[in-house]
Amino acid sequence: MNFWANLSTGFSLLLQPQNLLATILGQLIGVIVGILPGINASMAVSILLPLSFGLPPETALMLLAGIYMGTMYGGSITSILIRVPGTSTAAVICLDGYELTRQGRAGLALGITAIGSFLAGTFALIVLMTLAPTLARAALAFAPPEYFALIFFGLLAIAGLEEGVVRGLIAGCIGLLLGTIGMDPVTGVARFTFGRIELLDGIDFVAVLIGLFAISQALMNLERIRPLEFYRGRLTGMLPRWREFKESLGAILRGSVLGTIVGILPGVGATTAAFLSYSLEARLARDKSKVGKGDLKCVAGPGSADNAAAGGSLIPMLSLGIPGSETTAVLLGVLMIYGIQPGPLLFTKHTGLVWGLIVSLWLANFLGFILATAGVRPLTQLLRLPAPVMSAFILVTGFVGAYALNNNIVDVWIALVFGILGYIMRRVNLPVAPLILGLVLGPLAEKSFRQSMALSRGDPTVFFTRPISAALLSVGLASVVLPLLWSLVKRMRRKEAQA
Amino acid sequence: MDWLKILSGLGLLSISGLWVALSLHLPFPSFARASKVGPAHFPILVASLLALLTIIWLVRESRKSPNEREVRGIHLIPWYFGYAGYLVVVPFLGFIPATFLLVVAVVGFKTRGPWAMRLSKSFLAGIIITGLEWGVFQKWLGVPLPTGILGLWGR
Amino acid sequence: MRKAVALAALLGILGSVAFAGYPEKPVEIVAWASPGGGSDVMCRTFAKALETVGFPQPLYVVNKPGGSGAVGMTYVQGKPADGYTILGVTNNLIFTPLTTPGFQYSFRDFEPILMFGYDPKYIVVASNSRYQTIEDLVNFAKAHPGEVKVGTFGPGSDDHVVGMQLAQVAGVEFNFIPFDSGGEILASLLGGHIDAQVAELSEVKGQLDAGAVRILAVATAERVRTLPDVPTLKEKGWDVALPKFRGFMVKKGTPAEVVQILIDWAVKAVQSDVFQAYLEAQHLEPALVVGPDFTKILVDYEAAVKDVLQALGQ
Repeated sequence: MNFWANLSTGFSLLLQPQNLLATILGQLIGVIVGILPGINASMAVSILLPLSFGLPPETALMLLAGIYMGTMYGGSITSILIRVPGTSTAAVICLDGYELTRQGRAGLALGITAIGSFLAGTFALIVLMTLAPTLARAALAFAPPEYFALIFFGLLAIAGLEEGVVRGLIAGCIGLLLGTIGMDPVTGVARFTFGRIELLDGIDFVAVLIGLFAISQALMNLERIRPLEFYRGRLTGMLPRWREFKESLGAILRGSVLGTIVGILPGVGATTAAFLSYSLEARLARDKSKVGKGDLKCVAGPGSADNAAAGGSLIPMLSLGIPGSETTAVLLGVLMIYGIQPGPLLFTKHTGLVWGLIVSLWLANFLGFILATAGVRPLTQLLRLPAPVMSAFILVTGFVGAYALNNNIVDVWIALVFGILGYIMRRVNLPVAPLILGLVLGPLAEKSFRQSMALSRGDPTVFFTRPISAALLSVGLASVVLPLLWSLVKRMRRKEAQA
Repeated sequence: MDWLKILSGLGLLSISGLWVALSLHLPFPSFARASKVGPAHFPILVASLLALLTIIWLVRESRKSPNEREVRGIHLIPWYFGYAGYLVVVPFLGFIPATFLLVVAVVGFKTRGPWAMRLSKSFLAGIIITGLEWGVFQKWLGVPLPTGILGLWGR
Repeated sequence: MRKAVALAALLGILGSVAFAGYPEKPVEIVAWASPGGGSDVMCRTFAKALETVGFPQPLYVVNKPGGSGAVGMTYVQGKPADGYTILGVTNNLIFTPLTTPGFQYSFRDFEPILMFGYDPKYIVVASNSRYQTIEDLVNFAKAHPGEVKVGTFGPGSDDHVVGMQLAQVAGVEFNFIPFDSGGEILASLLGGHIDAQVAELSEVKGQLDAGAVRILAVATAERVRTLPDVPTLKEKGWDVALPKFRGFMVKKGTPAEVVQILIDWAVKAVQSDVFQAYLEAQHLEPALVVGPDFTKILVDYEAAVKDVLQALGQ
């Protein structure tokens, strides 16, 4: 009963004109900022914070939460169309999304991402409305050993990403090594920074991606090394058909659940959720040779996971006052500016505000879907720009996108270095996807491993005495070991049959 | 075997070596020693693994027949240098003129047709792209793009 | 002699002409955090407060994140010392130069405008913890060296140094667990994975109101105005007082007249309603310290943490 009363309070708040307007405006701005590379959700919300000055707290919150949800929709668009990640959360979509664009199926990739985002956002919001306090408390059981097990699970995918295991592992190890650059997370010792203070915080993986993908791609395109880099044919299949939707529904659902769980956890956010979803889809793929070459599931999964994580991160924020991501930390700060103390009492003390926000998020999620699907057609027309103009545009966007990460030109130099590296890797036939996975997940794995070892004072059994981490690790290890054993058995049988 | 593969392999081996050598000199602060795992362990593990894998890779590749399809691309080197030149020039000239020149150069060189067309096309593209990026990032979002040593292209 | 006097007078006139008009162009406020970080909010609020008290030029906040403030400090040092680039500072101004090998700047390369307040550091436990008082915690740690798990904000951070210093003066050993964000630490505390944390009030206020956490002590010289019941570590006999001060500085060598103009504006801004509301919302302790007095605080602060930080690297 209480639930419906709360819901109607929420609706009555949302239906006030200024709140409705704030939600719509926030969503619109969010989508646009999400498209712009180099500007992440948390940066967007803080930069645009002044827009909310002078508004009542619920209106301000709806505006900013709308921006947050909007960036999740916008981020994947540039990843798919020009291989420059719009936000770090959508970076992994560059891998397969852009391949679909090259095959002339940009509309399909954009469409499936929009649908997946909508379903995932809806899922996370339902969870938020019904199970928030319970789940937020359950998430507290997650300590460093569990984080390690989760990340390790994602890292295992490196081995299975491409047909060549050795080449995949080499690329993965390059990523892991690059991830060790910067201040050691546990002792603060500067590692491999070569005296550069810009490297103390590590190499920004978005700069790496911009270099590996956007810059090398734009330059190769100029030389027409692969004339088909920009698809010139008819842009068919604007929106996914039922068959394609059915094909990716599993990935969307998996992405939704995974994203919501990862979103609730305070230590990891939407970016990690998207990468974990990618590695999950890559491992589940029946046809491994398609992964990284335009596998629709590898677009749908991560595209859903980041939206679910955005919704999921609101769960600990609203029910415990613990930020589940960088952006929710900023939103908590906004609450505090208005003199509203976030914490376990927020749901009871400010019922109207919380439920108004939840209802406005529904609207925002729906609007994002409308905007994203309506935008598919005009956005794909961008691909019709003359190739030199397109290349120039990508080169400049790559510059600004890398620069805006830290307002520092060093990141653009990093991008250039990786542009050259990407070109070399392509020539010697090393895959780049494992490198990115290693770079993003490696530091998290190392940090949580060593945090766990600190908690247990150097006792490695900590990973197997705790139920969640033990379960995750054994499933992960089994999924690597069992197929190996299976192929071994098969080979033996074949030998027997021959003999 | 492709000379670039040999070179890449050697590069990877030397990077692994460098990482191990640097790791051996990393301190292990006393306050963290209870955890037994220090800042050097993970890099050494990964670097050794990388070295091992690289050797396997090189050995395997050397046995393969060299008739694989190769991606050409020696022409790209001038373009990489061109982009590096852009990065060098931006802090001095400022974002706006440097970017305008980059776009004009790229579009002008690569568009076909009579020179007047090429010139007008490239200028138009230069103005639109530079203006769009500057307007959105600098004016709207307040990203402090480089203004140049004279500071002419500020807010 | 007369010539010299005339020259001095002339220089004086030229000099005063040079900055009589300050500020003549937009002023940049450098935040060494990404948008949304604590120092970013501080700088943006300060810019807004300066605007509301009628600062005659536009103000822009520029984010130069990286290396715990090292990138921001270097950026300001690369600008002319003319007062048109203001740096928002916290106690990282002391910590970062001491913990970053080869970093060439320190607080001595900056000219203080003012310090406007500080975040006190609290020792916090979950409310179902067996430690009722700070003595309980320290005594247990004394009897069981290395068993008390203390979550802090990363190695060499002020949280960590507060914990290290307490361990040092109380003669105990804590097991420090480093985390990346306040949210992770708090979740680990509530989940029972760590025994205590060093935190700022804004991070734990919601849990405190809900009765989920307990504050054992505060690391300041005197009791805190908002929580008068919380004892200081000092009064318990452990001299640990390392609040996270917050303030603004400009590059060393900025003309004294310009610094004075900036101080006047900054004092007005800090006293404005906008800024006072910020102090209130972030649970900051107001403490207005202007110009050279700020430097004195910095010198003492550095002396207090130097030994601990150098021990960190070994």
